[in-house]
Amino acid sequence: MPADIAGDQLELSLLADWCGRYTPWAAVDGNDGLFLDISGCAHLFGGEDTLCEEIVTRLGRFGYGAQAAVAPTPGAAWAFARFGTKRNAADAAAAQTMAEFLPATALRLSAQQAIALHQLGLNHIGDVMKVARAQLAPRFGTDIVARIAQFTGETFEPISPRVPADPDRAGRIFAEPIRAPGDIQATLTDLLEKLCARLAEKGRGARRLDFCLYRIDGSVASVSVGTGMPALDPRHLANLFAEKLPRLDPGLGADAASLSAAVTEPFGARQIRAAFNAGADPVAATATVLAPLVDRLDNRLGRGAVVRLEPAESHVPERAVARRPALVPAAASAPWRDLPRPVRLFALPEPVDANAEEPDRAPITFRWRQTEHRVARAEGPERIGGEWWRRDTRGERDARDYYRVEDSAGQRFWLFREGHAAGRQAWFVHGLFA
Amino acid sequence: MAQESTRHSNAAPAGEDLDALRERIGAMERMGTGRDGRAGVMPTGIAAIDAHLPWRGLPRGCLHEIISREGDGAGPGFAAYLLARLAVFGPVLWLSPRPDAYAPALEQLGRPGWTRRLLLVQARRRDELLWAMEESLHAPGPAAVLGEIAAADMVASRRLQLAAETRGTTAILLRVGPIDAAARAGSVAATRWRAESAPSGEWPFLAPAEFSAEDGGENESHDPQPIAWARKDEIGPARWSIGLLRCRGGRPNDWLLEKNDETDSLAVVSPLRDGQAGEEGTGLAR
Repeated sequence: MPADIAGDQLELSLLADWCGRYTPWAAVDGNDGLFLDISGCAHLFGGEDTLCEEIVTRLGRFGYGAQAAVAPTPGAAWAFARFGTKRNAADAAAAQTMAEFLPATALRLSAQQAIALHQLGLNHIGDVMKVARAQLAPRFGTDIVARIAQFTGETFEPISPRVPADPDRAGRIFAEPIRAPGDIQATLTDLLEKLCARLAEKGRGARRLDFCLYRIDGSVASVSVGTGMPALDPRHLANLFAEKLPRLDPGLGADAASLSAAVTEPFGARQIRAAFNAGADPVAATATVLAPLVDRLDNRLGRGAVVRLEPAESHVPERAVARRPALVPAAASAPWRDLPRPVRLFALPEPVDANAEEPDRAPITFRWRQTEHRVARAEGPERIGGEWWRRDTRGERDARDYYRVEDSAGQRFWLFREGHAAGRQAWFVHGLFA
Repeated sequence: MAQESTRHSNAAPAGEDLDALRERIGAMERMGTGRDGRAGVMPTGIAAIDAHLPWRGLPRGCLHEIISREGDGAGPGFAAYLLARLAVFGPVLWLSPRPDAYAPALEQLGRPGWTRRLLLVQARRRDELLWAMEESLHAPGPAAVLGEIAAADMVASRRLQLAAETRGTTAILLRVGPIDAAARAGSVAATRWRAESAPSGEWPFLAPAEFSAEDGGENESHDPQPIAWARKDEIGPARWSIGLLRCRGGRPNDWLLEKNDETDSLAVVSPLRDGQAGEEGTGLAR
């Protein structure tokens, strides 16, 4: 059976996520390993031995045969996890002596390097260490020297965590797995308070929060909320989560939870800016008041559901209006151009059967949405050139001839004709006038 | 009659004591003045309509309904006109399944720059839209919330009315669909309007007759006929036929309004069928 490298990578990255319960510094190593930097974390889980034991036991329960070791350096941990007999080699001196008898390949060497060393009788790490490094480099490559230095800790080998370093994060481990919505809610409330207090100290507010439940089967369930302005109020944020919590499935139970602020912004900067612009922009002045509402609507209805409208530089009607996030203060924008425009503009012009007697005039009758309309009055054409230089437009590159048309009942429509060659003209309703 | 029975079901349960009942009646009577006593009436700016309404304008902190046919621009036009006037009090929200309200035209239905106070909200499903509307009415900030919806039942309208009362935010339902069905549907709205497009008016200047009379001295041979024909073909100032179908404590009525493009205001052209409009609406008239 061929190895499914991509699948392994995915599984590993999921496991690395799961290990986020122990430490924020969890990284995937190669195709078969994980590095956890547990500096300062181990005591939370009853010490290094217990932590190691727990991880292996839990992974075993998920169906993974895992080996783990604690060591002063990532290189040493790699070696002991794969070739060691004892899990804990955290003491640097003990690690040195134990390393003597580990095979040389435990230095993370390539197969050729290991064979070359073996041919010289250098079978164990202890043997390799005894050889002067100046002699090793020319024969086996400089990376063997680097590997030794990483093993002993002479060079620092950073672990790149899957989550950004120093995340704004609060977490909780449960003695008993939780499942009940009430428990999840209570946990979230608790974590929100902790995290908001921490952010407040830093003078930052959250723009995006991820709430993760670590299920006992090893998978992670998470929900995210976003805010239009940096937020620090736990009640407001709890309200945003309230819409989404029902979708958070704890499975058979969750034994840990974490809340992290994935995106933060200095709290206050935006608010001050809004107050400063108050005279010029009434929306900005009320943005702070509206923020909780806009966040709630955005989170339930989908990002971008709430917009403000601003004039944009375009002749094409669809692009003459820019939709901006509701809470971003308005730039000093040009006024709207005073042209006859419909109060409703359809996102997609609707094709109509039009009966035009003369090629350059408005139709006499047209059929739209199963209704025949007799044109009583018409004005036009207003020729609006297509933005032919744009590549993303389909069928909009041709110029359109727009007509304002009033039917016999008094309804006013915005019709346009596309195409100029006789017989290839098509008519559309693009909008309704008030 | 349907209206009467719903009123009763809306009344207090048997257990409620008299004081609470008085409080409720008091709240009904204060309608339009707002809970904190501030003047809560927004004049529509159309003299004839303001004079006809019992509050001399539209009471804020209430639910109002506008009924309009699908595919008629008068409904959104009239709604935008009212929303623009309400925007004086704060930001306003327009909730709709398809956000096709077009800002360049909205801008022309109110004071210049009013659309800067407008937020457009897209809620695709009916339940989402009603939720969002209620949520917006409960929240501090908005002065008015407009929701576009095909049909709203009695329960929905009562919820919206209660939500509107909590902060004195004005709620407007723009019901787009067959007019007859919507006009019959029950509701607790303070007012219910019908908005329809009417054939546009004539431009007030350069009537063909005057034109030819002025020019007459020099260009005796000039034929006014083509000019008259061209003028007739041109679309004049927009006209709406607006009907007040229901009004709490007031009578139904109809008006023909014309938009003045110079001042972006509305004025009555002539009263239509005064006092005999809307057979459906008379049940509520007192």
